[in-house]
Formats: sequence, C-alpha cells, structure tokens
Amino acid sequence: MFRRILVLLDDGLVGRRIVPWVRRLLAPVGGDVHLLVVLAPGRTVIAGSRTLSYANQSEDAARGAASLELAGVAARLRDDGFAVSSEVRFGDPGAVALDTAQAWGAEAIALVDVPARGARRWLTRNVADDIIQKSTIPVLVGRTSGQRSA
Amino acid sequence: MRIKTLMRCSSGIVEARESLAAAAMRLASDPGGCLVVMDGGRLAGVLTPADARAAGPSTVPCLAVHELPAFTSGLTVADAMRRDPVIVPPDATSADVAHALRTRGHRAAVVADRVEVMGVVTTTDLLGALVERLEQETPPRLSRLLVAVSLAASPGRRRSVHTALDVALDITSVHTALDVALDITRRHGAMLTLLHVMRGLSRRVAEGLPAGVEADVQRWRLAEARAALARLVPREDRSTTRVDVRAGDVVEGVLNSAATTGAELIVMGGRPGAAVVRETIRRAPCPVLAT
Repeated sequence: MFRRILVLLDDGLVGRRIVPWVRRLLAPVGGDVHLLVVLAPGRTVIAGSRTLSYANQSEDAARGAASLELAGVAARLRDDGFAVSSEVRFGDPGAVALDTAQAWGAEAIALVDVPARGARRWLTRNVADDIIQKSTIPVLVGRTSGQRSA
Repeated sequence: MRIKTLMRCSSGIVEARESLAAAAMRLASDPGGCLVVMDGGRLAGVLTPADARAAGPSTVPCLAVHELPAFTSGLTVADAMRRDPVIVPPDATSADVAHALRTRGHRAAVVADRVEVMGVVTTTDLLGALVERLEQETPPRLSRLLVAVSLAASPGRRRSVHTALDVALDITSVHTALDVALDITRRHGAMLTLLHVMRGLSRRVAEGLPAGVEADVQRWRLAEARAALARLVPREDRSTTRVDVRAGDVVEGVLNSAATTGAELIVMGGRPGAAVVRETIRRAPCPVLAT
C-alpha cells in the first residue's frame, strides 16, 4: 500500500476536506505526507503610472499567507505521527501537482474536486480531471459537499 | 482546549464613530472575522459581518430601492456593533466561551488579559474546533470498501466473461483497482465488496426475480460473472470479500452498491480519465480512489 501521499490543497478551507481521509487511509501504516498549495502566478499591480506591487511581492505575500495555513494542517498531521512536509508553488495546479508528485516520489495524490461554476466550467480545465487523466499513480478524490465526512 | 490556542487576531480595531460602510469593507476581506470596537480607549463592543449586514441596506433589491441612501450611509459602527461584548480570559476553556456566546446570543468573544485585548474567538473558530474533535472521534481505520472492477470489460457475449476479467487482471500487475483495494482491506481489517456492473443484464435477473424463459441465459451469465469475480480474490481474502454483480448503468450501479454497503472508499480502475470514473467522482457519497 502506498505510504507517500501528495495532498493538493487550495488557499482556502475547501481542499482540507481530503486531509482527514488521508489520515484514515494512512493510519495503519503511517507514512509521509507532502502538502502542496498551488496558487495563481502573481501579477504586477499598476495604478496609473505607479507600480503598487511587483509580481514577486504579490507572490511572497500569498506564499506567506498560505504557509501559515499549511503550518496548522501540518502540525495536526504530525501530532498523529505522520512525517509531513509542505510547499507553496505557483502555476497550473494540475501540471505543478504532477511534477511535484514525480519529483517527491509520491505513491498517490489526494485532492478535492472543486467544480468550476458559470463560464469557467467551459473555459478552464478541471484540475481533478486533468490529474486523473495524466497521473501514473492512484488519485484519491473527494468532493466539496454532499459527501460523508471522514 | 484553552481559548488562547484557538483565538486569532481580530480583523482590526475601529472607533465607534467610524462609518459602518468603511468597517464593512474591512470585514469583507475576512468573512469569518470580527472587528473590536473601541470608544475613547475603552472596549465598547464587537462588530461581525452579520452585524454589519443586519444594520445595512436590505439585501433584497426590490426592498433596498425604497431605502434612503442618505440614511444607511450615515450609519456608524456604534449603530451596528454588539455592545457589552463577551470578554474572556486567555485561560478560559472553549466550552466556557461557547456557553457564554450561546447564552448571550453573541457571535464573537474578545479575549483580554486584564485590560489588554489579545484576540478574538468567533463561532466559526469554535465550529472548526468541534469539527476537528469529531474527526478525531471517528475510528482511524476504514471498515468498508467498494472496488469496481473491469468496468470497460462488461461482457456482451457469453464467452468473454472469463477472458475479459482475466486479461484486466494480468495487464495491470501493480496498480489494478483490485490489488490496491485488497492491500488497503488487509491493512485496515476492512470488508471489501467486489463489484461488477453488467450493462446487458436484466435488472430482474440480477435481483433474483423470475423474468421469463429468456432469463435462463442471463442467469447463466450472472452466475458466470459471479464465479469469475470470486476467482479474482485470493483465497486468504475470501472471508473479508463479498462479490456483487449489478445490472444497468455502471455509474448508477456503483453508487447504489456504495450506498447499500455503506462504503467509506470506492476504488475504481478503468481507462485514465474515463467518463465513468469522472461521473462517479462527481456523485459518490464517499471519496473515490482512481487507480
């Protein structure tokens, strides 16, 4: 059974729904958990002729906020006896998650399927679909609502 | 749990005479937060997003048009805040704070050490702590799994039953849905339901009801499918594995079987990104492990 699971989270509370399932799945064997948050690349904010913040500054701020959130999740998993690492990256969530899974040597990927709404449904690719289609390792997928809690 | 481990920084401190619209904008970036309201250096109350909404214009457009903009824009924080806030020491327990909030009908408490405001605790924070506690109370191991196998190999002809299932087992030696599910089942000491959904099978036959003379062939196919599924399970796992063959739509069959067995995890194989897997994920009552 897999012991190294990459958990793909978002910058809110939704993605965390999968964490208790990962904890239950790994409970008998223990294991390594890698928490990954993939954010949209930062953009330079310009007002008139003034640059209010550069892309790297936006990314640093977003990375700091996400790291703070991850620290809480990681601490609770460590309390349960898992080895936990965490990382915040920027880019396309599907591609970054697959790259990270390969580099880290993940044996499974866990994520919550967040369905897009409105026009985004047609304009953007679903992250979960993308990962399931391209992943060579098992993918554990939960839903945002309408599903039993762990 | 002590409240000092649960509290968070307030969304900010505002003066009671400040504009409510400006305070509401500050709260908009932190929907679960609250503002601590001071009046002349003294703690006067707290303002949550719900308080700000209740004092602001109606959220129903046809009613809001009848409200005078000049009236709502003139509101101050003092008009909307909760006066006489719940103040708790940092060593108070979460149960004490929850009890105080419930008794007085407030949504946020101020954590203060003598006169210094240290943070706030909202009902959202207390709910978060409750969720964590409930999750820790659930048994750590999984007890019921469902594995749907050979979804793409639903036998359309009599002789394809064995072949299709055996080939599916051989070509995916490491990460077949069944291998993964059996491994999880062994480690968790769980019960496994091995499911196969046959599209061409009569629902009445699958349910064991008499369905006429033509049903004899279908009954034979059903028995063959059950026997083939049973052969897939190693001898040592047969006591913890149940075979289930259903008729009709694959996704409906998987969802019905998951509901009937109370499955906590569905394991599915099949082509990567197959429509069946995607549809099951969108409607499943529990997480799906796509192998």
